Amino acid sequence: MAAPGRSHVSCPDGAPTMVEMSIIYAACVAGAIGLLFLLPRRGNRWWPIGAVLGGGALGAGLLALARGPSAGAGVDVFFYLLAFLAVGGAVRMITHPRPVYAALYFILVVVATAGLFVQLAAEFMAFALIIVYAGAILITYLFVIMLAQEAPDDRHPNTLTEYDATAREPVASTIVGFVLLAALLGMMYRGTGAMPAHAQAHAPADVELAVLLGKVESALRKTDLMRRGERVGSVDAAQRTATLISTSPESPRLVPLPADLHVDNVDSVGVSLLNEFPVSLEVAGAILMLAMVGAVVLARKERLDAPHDSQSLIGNAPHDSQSLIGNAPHDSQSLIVGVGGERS
Amino acid sequence: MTEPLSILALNHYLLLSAVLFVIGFIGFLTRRNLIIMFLCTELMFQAAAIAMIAFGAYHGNVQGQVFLIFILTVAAAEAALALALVVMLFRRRPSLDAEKWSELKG
Amino acid sequence: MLNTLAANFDLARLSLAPETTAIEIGAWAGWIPLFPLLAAMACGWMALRSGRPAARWPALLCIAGLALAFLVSVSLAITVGHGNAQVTIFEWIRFERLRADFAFFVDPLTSIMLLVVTGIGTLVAIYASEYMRGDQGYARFFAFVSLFIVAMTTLVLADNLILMYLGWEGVGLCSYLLIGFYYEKPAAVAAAKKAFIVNRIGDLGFALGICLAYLQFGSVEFAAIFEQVEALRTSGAEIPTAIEAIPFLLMLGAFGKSAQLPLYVWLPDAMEGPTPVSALIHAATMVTAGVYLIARALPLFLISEYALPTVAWVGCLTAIFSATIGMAQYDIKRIFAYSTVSQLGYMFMGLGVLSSVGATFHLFTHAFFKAALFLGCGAVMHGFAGQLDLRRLSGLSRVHGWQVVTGSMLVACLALAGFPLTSGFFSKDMILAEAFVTDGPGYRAIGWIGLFTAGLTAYYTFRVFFRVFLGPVHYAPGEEQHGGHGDHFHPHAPGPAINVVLIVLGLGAIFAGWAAVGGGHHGWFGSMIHHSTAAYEAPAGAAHGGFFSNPHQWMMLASSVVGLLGIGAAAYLHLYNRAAAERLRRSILPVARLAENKWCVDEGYDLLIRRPLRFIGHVCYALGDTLIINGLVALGGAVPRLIGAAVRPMQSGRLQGYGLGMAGGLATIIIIVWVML
Repeated sequence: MAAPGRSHVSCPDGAPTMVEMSIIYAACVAGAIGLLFLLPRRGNRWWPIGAVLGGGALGAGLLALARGPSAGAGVDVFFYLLAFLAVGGAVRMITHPRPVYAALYFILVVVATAGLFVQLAAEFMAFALIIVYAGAILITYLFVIMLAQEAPDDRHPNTLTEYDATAREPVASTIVGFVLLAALLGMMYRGTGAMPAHAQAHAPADVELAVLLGKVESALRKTDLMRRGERVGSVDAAQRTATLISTSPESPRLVPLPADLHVDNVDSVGVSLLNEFPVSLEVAGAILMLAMVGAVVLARKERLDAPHDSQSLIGNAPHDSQSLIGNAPHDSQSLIVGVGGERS
Repeated sequence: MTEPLSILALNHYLLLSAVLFVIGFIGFLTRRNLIIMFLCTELMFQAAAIAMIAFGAYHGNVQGQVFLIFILTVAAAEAALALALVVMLFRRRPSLDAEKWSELKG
Repeated sequence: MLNTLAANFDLARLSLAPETTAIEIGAWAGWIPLFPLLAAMACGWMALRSGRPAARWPALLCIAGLALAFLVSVSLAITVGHGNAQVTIFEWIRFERLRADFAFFVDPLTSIMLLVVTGIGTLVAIYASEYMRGDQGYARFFAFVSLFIVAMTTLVLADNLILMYLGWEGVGLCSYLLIGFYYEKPAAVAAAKKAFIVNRIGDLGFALGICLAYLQFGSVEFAAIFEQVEALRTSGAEIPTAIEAIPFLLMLGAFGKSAQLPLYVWLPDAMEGPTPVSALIHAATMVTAGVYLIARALPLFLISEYALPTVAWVGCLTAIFSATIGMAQYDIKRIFAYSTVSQLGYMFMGLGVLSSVGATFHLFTHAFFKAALFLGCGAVMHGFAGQLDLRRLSGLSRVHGWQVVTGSMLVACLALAGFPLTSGFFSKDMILAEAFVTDGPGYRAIGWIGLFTAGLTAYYTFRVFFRVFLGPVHYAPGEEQHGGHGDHFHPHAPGPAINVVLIVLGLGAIFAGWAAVGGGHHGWFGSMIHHSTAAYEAPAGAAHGGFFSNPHQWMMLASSVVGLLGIGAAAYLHLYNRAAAERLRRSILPVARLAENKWCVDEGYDLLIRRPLRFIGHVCYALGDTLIINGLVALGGAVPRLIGAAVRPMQSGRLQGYGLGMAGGLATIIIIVWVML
């Protein structure tokens, strides 16, 4: 929806013109209005207007981008497709009153984002994203959503709770959000406008082969270039040659690398991760460990209440769940006292 | 590796990133369900991830991707803890309404 | 403890005293305030410890401290002689150019003042040991008296204006404390406040004078100031107005402290204090501080040609003005209070007509006879249960046990009236004669007015004496008479302590005058003063020779006649034919009433000064305090409260509210940065 319907007539250095900025702001306003109509409320009969306004603006904007002057900017049609999916999924996610659907729309956003990562030659991250987010985190969310669902009314199973059905301060939030968007975009164009149109020539291709001796060796073994008893001593990535060493008299000797031997994304990420950020990697592991312990401590049930309160976890008995806290139901009014009560 | 991203293409991705971020933020502000609020923070993580990868592609290195690994780590940890908190809160008071948990106001 | 740094302070050009100063002599001076200070601390401790000490320790301590101070003063006077000495006790204020040490300067004038202060102080303390016996605040009284002596000796000994000001305010404080000694009495409290507030006016002048002196001369030390003044005078250059203003400001302080027009009103009311206090502070010593100030700073006063004539005229008018009030009063203590004002007027007159010897000598003799008069009054008051109305007391000389009081009162009254060969006779004549021979604006008139006032003085003095001590015996007890005695009231005669003190003072009242007789010019006393900073050399060729051509001898005769006339009038009206006095009063009733009401000066001040001030105060209170200050304070409270009320809803405890604020703030900052960069 808010994806800008801007005709990308920017200067070569990427700085937007005044016309572009005006279009961005107009898109912000249109997006804000569309989102406002879409946000959940009781008896919202105006959502089609929002859908038409937001979706139309989004689609038309993307189309204009694709056909506009920046069509040859190095992005292909998949970008627009995936961007449409991502933004549309995101909007739907925050506007859908039911948490389960919101979570499912979020999976759509994750998948679209993963597609964009593939576009950006970040295949490993694309699949990691799908596995971690769509596979692990979102499933956890779904579990919690199901566990923490309020008791549905048996006679009206589709009744929404009040806090799901109505948005909180939609106008103010939307205005602030889109003002923030305008500010962010302004700064963004300002920043990228100062950057060169193309980055400096990066390191020669496959330079990581110098440290990926095992990969080179296994590739060489598939050919007949490598003899028994030899191993790869070093690799010259620029000359595409490998030095093989052995106990034989002709060692060392140079052999060319196979033409189809390349460093892929996973190799690059792994080399960078282990070569440049080993400490951060360890810290990340520690964080995950702590988060796991913390989650267990926070979410565990009290042993005292174990036989009786298992059902209260799914929330179909409000009074019982209150009694979880301890002997004094009134303690539940206060978080701090409640914690004390729980621990006692 | 493919050709590095041009500045125009980078602008496209950053634009998408900003839009997703703001949408997530608006969702965080407007929705009252604790779980959806956390989902919205995940959406903002996605936006950050897109910006990160796009900048990495522009500069032609993989550090953006490596950094995303850490972001994913933190997001996973945050999700685990946040959801544990939600479960704990829900046990205390059978509602996911964020407005009900305003005792800590100053 | 005493850091003796006797500087060879050369006042030769001023005092014409070529004597060199011995280094050691000044060391004594530090002990003079110290002994009373120790006594004050001990008495104060006793006063705090118990409300009513059984023993007479406070009195003994006070007497001992004062007597020691007196002995030191005597030895100091003897050792210093006609020379001078400076002692630095410790460094006090050193600020940029400002140098005000706790340093003492001793010259003959100081010696005389010290003798008067400590001597009279000792006698009054002895007297009070009996007079105050049985009083609730026995120890407190002696603590205050000792403290007063500390402050007064500091004032007298000070070698710079700031230390003098310290003593000046110290005696003011003690005066306030002692006037309000009977703090249960509303009149006493009011009188204490009045004394303090009226003195503030004068003290402001004094303080401004000090500031101006510092600004003009760069120093507050007398020696340095006099040096510069002398240089200025001899240079013949025109005197800057700012310097000419200094004596006038100092004069204001002197007028306040010494109860001169227009600031005299506090002194009669100050009689609410215990009578020994009236004798010591409000007759003999403290009120003469103004005279002392001008005498000490005489070189400074000579710098302006209008300063001393102003002093003379103010003193002269005060003398006759308060004498007329004194004539019509009935409260004998008040009569003597007005008499004190009047005699202080004489002293200023003497200073003004350049008879510094006469002024200080009158100060000296007045201390004796006025102390005797007050202490005699006190004895009467003590014996007759607070009765002070001369209409209700008569013929006390014939009551058993009152002969000593009568005798000393007679001597003191004679001295005050200027009866020949008493002390007051010599000192007053010195002033009046000088008024006739000195050239100055209207000095002749001052002399005539002074002479006339001497007659009035003799009249009202003996009005008291003839009424109270002679005539038929009848008396009525005062308000302090306790119930139960019924009709037969027995006055209790004064005891040995009171009588001894009265005898000593009476002898002083007679013989103090001889200190200025014989020798060269005005005898021993004159030579003393001529070697102090108060010295003034009369122009050569002044008429000081022959009998009728010698103004002093001529004046002695004239004033004797005037004094005897006054005494005779008093004798006729108040001893032989008291009905005539009443008839006389009737015949001039409006004037008499007015005089009895003290010429309505208090009412006039009330109308002209107090009420407008009070009105201004009310206006300021209503506008300034209530509206502006209170408004500002209320505003200071209201603004945060309003801001709080506006902002408080934001502290809802809802996470999203905070998130909203955070995003808004972030967007604002980004936009601001965007616009600015």
